[in-house]
Amino acid sequence: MADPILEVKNLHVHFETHDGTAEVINGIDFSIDRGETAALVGETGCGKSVTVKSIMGLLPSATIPEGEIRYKGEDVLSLSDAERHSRRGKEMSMIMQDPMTSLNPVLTVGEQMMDVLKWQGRPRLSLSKLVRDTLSTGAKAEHRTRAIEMLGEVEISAPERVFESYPVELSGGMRQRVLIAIALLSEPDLLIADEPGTALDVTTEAKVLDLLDELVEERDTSVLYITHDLGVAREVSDRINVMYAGEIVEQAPTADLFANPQHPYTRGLLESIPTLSTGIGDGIEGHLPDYTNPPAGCRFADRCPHAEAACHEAYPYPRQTGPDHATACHLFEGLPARERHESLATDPVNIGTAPWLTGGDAPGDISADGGTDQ
Amino acid sequence: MNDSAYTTEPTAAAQPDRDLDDPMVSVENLKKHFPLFEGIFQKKAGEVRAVDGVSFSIAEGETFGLVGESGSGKTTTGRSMLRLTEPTSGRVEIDGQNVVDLSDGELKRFRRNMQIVHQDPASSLNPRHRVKSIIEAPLKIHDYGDSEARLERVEELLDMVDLPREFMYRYPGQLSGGQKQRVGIARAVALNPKFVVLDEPTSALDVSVQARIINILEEIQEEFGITYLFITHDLSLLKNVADRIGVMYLGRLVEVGDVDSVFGSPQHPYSRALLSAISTISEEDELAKPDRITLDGEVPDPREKPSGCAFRSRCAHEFDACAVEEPELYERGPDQVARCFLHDDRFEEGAEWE
Ligand SMILES: Nc1ncnc2c1ncn2[C@@H]1O[C@H](COP(=O)(O)OP(=O)(O)OP(=O)(O)O)[C@@H](O)[C@H]1O
Ligand SMILES: Nc1ncnc2c1ncn2[C@@H]1O[C@H](COP(=O)(O)OP(=O)(O)O)[C@@H](O)[C@H]1O
Ligand code: SF4
Ligand SMILES: [Mg+2]
Ligand SMILES: [Mg+2]
Repeated sequence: MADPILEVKNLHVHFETHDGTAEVINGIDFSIDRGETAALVGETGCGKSVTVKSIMGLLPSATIPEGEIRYKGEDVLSLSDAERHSRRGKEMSMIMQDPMTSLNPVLTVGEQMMDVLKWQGRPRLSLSKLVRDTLSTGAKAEHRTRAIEMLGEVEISAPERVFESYPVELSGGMRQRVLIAIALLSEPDLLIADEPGTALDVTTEAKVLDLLDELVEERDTSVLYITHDLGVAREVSDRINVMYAGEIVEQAPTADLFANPQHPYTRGLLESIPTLSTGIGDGIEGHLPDYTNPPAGCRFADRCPHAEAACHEAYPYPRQTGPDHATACHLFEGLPARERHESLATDPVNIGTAPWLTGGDAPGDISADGGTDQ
Repeated sequence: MNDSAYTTEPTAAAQPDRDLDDPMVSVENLKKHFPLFEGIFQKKAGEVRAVDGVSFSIAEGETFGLVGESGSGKTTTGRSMLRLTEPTSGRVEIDGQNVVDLSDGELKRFRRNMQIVHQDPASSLNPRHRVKSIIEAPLKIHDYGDSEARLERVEELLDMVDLPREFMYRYPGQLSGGQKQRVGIARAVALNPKFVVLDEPTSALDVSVQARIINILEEIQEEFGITYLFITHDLSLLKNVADRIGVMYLGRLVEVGDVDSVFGSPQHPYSRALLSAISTISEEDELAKPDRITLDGEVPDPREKPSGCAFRSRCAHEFDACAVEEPELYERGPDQVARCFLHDDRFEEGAEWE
């Protein structure tokens, strides 16, 4: 990795639930270079939001028994709450998954935007509103202009009116754009977008994607884009991390991932997506495992058409399957992608080669119907 | 006209022989206006024309896809057709019977012929009933055999939707989203209906689960010749499931045609914008869709019917005529019509298409 702005190493995230400890995130590693857009892709409940909230420090109820999150080289997990707070906004900023709940219903859009501009990088809870207002009168007009400008940039057609509106007065698409405007106001170096398009219509979502693209280009922002839609990930990202049940099962540059999808889960997903030219596949039987009692070996084994007995026992640590491609599956040989797994590699599991690589016509073989491997 | 790179002109040979002269379902000028009330005396203060003159037909055993953005009136169309909400006016014929004319008693008996599968499987199943009694309910209402015959039918239906028979004794809370939706489907097809409305049956599900549900729906259709109305936001999905489609905008159909024609060469600016916004997973698909068109402008308020063409506030092609009158549906192919003045011979000068 040339110059990573964010590095996540061996991150584990647990929750205490009434059924016991939920081991949701199980040792994930990924990084984002400066100016790069990385995507985190996976189905509902696979841990995408937990991952990014851990990065932002927004999960008070979680424990992180192990792992490192480095932002510009600094280990953010060892920082105090105040120090972490000071890095939100100006340094990293996040567009939350749900536009309805992440805007404050009793404040106008303008008030919420001004708040960001006035208080970015400073804890605001310790001061009363009165003191805040006296302190900030000078900057007010300037901030207002800036905020309205930003609303215009996210293509809100009547920015002055929206500036004075309350969130309930806006349509879903407009709320989402307001959130994006707020996230971009402080010109963060790292922008985390948690499924910003999911609540939108296709035409509005497409527009939001274009917009992000443009703004990223202009400001050289790094983006972590969360989505369950591989088509969207293909459009926006330079690199893709495919997540299943709290583990990253495959990571590669975007073009490479689509040209040469390796993990049976990635292939199953690709095969399930309805396409214009090749149809719709069979899908993947089954569902996510229970996080309070996760499988000992591969977390995908119960649903995998290629699983052998060994898959249920041995952890399929991510392995290097190409110069910049790592896959966590026993069907592939390769040096461990992480040093900490070297001891596991001394005793390799042999379940043969992936059938689609040996010319066999196995389930999950998407090349058979002219799929993605041109 | 249709000379752009993505055109896949349907050949005459590719046209299935479809009997639209004697359709299983036909809708004529269907309207549903919701009155709006305001103030403490609940004075009528206008109306939302959720469905405002919709017409289309579906041949027996085929799937008609209805697409359009949120609020365009898709669900209201489906529900009015089944009289789950009372249509304001229009005609809906299912298997030769005008449903709008049926008395309450007749309607109750006719219901076995027409069913619906809802978008949200969680809220459409009673959480306090076991799967068995959920699937059995329509059988009981319509006096289907004795308890033994009903049990047999429930087992058959579970097999059909690919659920283990033991699931009969579970509660909805013990099922995943995809499993719940299979129960919803089993319940809908329990009485061998002629027509089923599928209102976004997979949009609450992950793609890997969606694919299995779609396969099940197609198997059932093939075996029993059921006619479907399939409502969705997802155009790529529609391309795979529908024989013919209708594109809805503000309560009106703006384009109707067989799926290959509409996807190959959309004839309404809104259909074209929708198609261009599809995100794809291959180069092949990327080439198969129009270049990205972004829609500017505001979506009109559904309470105020705009003058002229309803789409004009967002249309890049708008010209003088569009504000004056509403375009009709112009014929654009053997089975394709589009509601846009660009196709009116009178305006060849002002119109720019392509
Ligand atoms: N019971 C009702 N009373 C008043 N207005 C209603 C009612 N039901 C629907 N509407 C309005 O009718 C219009 C069409 O709604 P409908 O639910 O049919 O849209 P849809 O196309 O199914 O949208 P979505 O894709 O979001 O499901 C909307 O403007 C909606 O607000
Ligand atoms: N605060 C929490 N307490 C307990 N469990 C949680 C919490 N937040 C998320 N989870 C669980 O973690 C898993 C991953 O959730 P999430 O990251 O939201 O998934 P997604 O990939 O859809 O964003 C789910 O099983 C979810 O129920
Ligand atoms: S390790 Fe085994 S079970 Fe897991 S994905 Fe690979 S083949 Fe399937
Ligand atoms: Mg999430
Ligand atoms: Mg609807």
